[in-house]
Amino acid sequence: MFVFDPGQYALSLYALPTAVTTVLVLVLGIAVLAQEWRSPVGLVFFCVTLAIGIWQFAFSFMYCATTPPVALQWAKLAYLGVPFIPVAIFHFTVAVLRRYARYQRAIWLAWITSAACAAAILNTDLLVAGVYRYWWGYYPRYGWLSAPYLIYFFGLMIFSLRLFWVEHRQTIPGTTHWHRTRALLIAFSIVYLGSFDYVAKYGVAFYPFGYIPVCVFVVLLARVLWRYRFVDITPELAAKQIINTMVNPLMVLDREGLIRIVNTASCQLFGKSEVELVGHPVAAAHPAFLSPDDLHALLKQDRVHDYELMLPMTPHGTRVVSLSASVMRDQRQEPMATVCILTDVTERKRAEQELQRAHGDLTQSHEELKSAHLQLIQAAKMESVGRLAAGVAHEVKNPLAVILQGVDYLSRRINGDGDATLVLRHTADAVRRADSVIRGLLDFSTSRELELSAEDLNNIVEQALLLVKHELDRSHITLLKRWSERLPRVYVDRHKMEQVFVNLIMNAIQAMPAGGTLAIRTSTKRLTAAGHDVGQRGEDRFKVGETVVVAEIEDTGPGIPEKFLEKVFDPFFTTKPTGKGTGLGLTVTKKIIELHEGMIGVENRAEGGVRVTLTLKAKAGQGDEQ
Amino acid sequence: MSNKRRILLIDDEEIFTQLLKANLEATGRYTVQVENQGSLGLAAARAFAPDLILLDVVMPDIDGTQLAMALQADPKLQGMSIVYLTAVASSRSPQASALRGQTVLAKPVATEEVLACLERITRKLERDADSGVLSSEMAPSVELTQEEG
Repeated sequence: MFVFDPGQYALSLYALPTAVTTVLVLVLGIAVLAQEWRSPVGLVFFCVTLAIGIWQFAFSFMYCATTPPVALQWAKLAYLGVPFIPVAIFHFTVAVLRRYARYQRAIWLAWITSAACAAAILNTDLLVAGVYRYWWGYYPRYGWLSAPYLIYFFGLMIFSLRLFWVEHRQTIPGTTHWHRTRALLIAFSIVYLGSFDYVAKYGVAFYPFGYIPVCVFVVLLARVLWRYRFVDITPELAAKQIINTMVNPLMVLDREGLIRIVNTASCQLFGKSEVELVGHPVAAAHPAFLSPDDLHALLKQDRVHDYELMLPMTPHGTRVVSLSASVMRDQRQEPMATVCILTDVTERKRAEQELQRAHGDLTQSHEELKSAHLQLIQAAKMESVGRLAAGVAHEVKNPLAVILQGVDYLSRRINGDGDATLVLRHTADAVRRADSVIRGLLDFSTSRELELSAEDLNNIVEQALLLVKHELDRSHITLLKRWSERLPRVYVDRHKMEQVFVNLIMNAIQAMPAGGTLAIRTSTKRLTAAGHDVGQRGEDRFKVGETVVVAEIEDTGPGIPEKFLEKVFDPFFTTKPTGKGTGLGLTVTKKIIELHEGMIGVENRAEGGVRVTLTLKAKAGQGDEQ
Repeated sequence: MSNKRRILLIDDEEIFTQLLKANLEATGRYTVQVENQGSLGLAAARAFAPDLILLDVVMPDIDGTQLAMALQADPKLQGMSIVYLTAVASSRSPQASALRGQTVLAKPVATEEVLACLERITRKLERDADSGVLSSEMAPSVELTQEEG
């Protein structure tokens, strides 16, 4: 072919700028393609540079051609690129401004039109009819088709420029997008100056300096690319990828409660496909998920944080889902849609509950441990008090014996002196009081040892009553006894149990200094309901169904103030006047009962006075008699 | 011969023994001999030949219960009535088992309690004498009750 014949060409300086422009433009196009790899914008921009490159490349050879036919061929070849310049720019503009949805059809139509133009130019002389010979070389001569072609060409170019202009005006000044649209607007305005190249196509010897604005355009675009890139990675750009990459289920509902958008995580949570969800009411996702009322409330609130929902899911059990939602509004601030983000917190909830339970257990254990520790300390303290008492008892009791004998001695000697006699009587009382304290401590320290035998509790109480008969008579107390016949025997230390009853009866007597009624009852009971210290566990003192022997001692005294009821068993706690009680009687009593694995309870009677209830296990094999 | 009962009081507490002796003798019914050294108790008993011995349990040189065994073992003193006087009231004390079933007066003890106890034993001794039972046959000679209140 003659176009490949070097003899048809002569080196022309006028071809140099266009050749350089070709290289620059293509380098820019390839650079953008590399940087914006896989981006439609990058690809389209490459098309722009390619179209310009073809134009400039063909014109370089056209300027070097020495004959009109060769020049014409190159002039026509240039139109493999030129008609595509406006459509590529238009496409690029739409891509950068993200107006695909609106101009998609126009873009395709423009590409087809440009392709048709290119085909017409290459195959006919309707557009490029021939060449002119100017002082800078050959140049295309336009035919009659140039008129509609140029209208199309400039129409598209002006439309693209306008899109940039409108976008730039609507963009908030100072933002990246504003800078970007401004730079692109300037760059494209400049490149359009290349349109003056058309003038020479109508026979006017106007030097086609189009390569200059093209070079400026290249530099400006390179700058835009460098500083702002062509496109931000915005939610709009990556929306679909982002929402589908999200770990949390997302759902967008319109005002009517219809699902509009769901992501993959949402589909997985509800076990449904996108098709089954989108376009359906929210109940399609799950019947328990957001009722119309909930949705209405949501729309009112604007946003909701961590609203927990229980969603029964067969066969996976109930899932606990935390919902955060916000209302999307249109330009008039009218609610448009509700964006719901869900978090499956089932495992977290379970872990929290476990943690809470563990914490509760730990707290309880800690309390029990603390209480046990305190009891141990108390026990150890009392143990040492007891040991100390036993140790010092002898050393204290001997001097007390001396004092008491001294009192007796002096009493004989000062016969008739009333005051002195009174002093001596008080001294003797003081000695007895000191002695009773020591005896109480000794009882406390020795109460661990039991000599157990099967005993009749009625008999033990009778024996104790004998010991306190004198006190009963002196205080004018009426005694009411009600013994249960055929009471099962109890396995107890007789002496210790006598001590228990003496202590309790003495307390009752002391509570009724002006007389009253002392009622003592014994009975048998089969434990039926679980209560304090009654249960089925191994460590419970009594078990349901077990037969027990119960003794109740009631007085008609003033009772015990409620606030002291819990303290009555504390060592050295007493409500009696000074000198009347050691504060050890009930402590020792309780200790003895506990050593017998029994129970003791002290309560105020509704009708006044105190009731002490002792519960002891019936000797094995005897309970069924009752 | 005086019809006063002869009491031997063996206790290391000197003042106590002096006061108790004075208080008992003031009744005019008893002659009390005091021995403050437990280890000399046996010799004192042999020499004094008491009707009854009031014996302390915890003494620095001898244990009262051991002394009682020695007294019981002595041919001259066999069947002697012994009343223990003790400040030891713990069942965990080493003497506890030896004292079980014996007549024990717990210190501090009032004179009237001692007298009541002595009277009871004296009456028993007199009853036994009247019935012609030899004192040596009175086994056991000590009362089985415990006087401690």
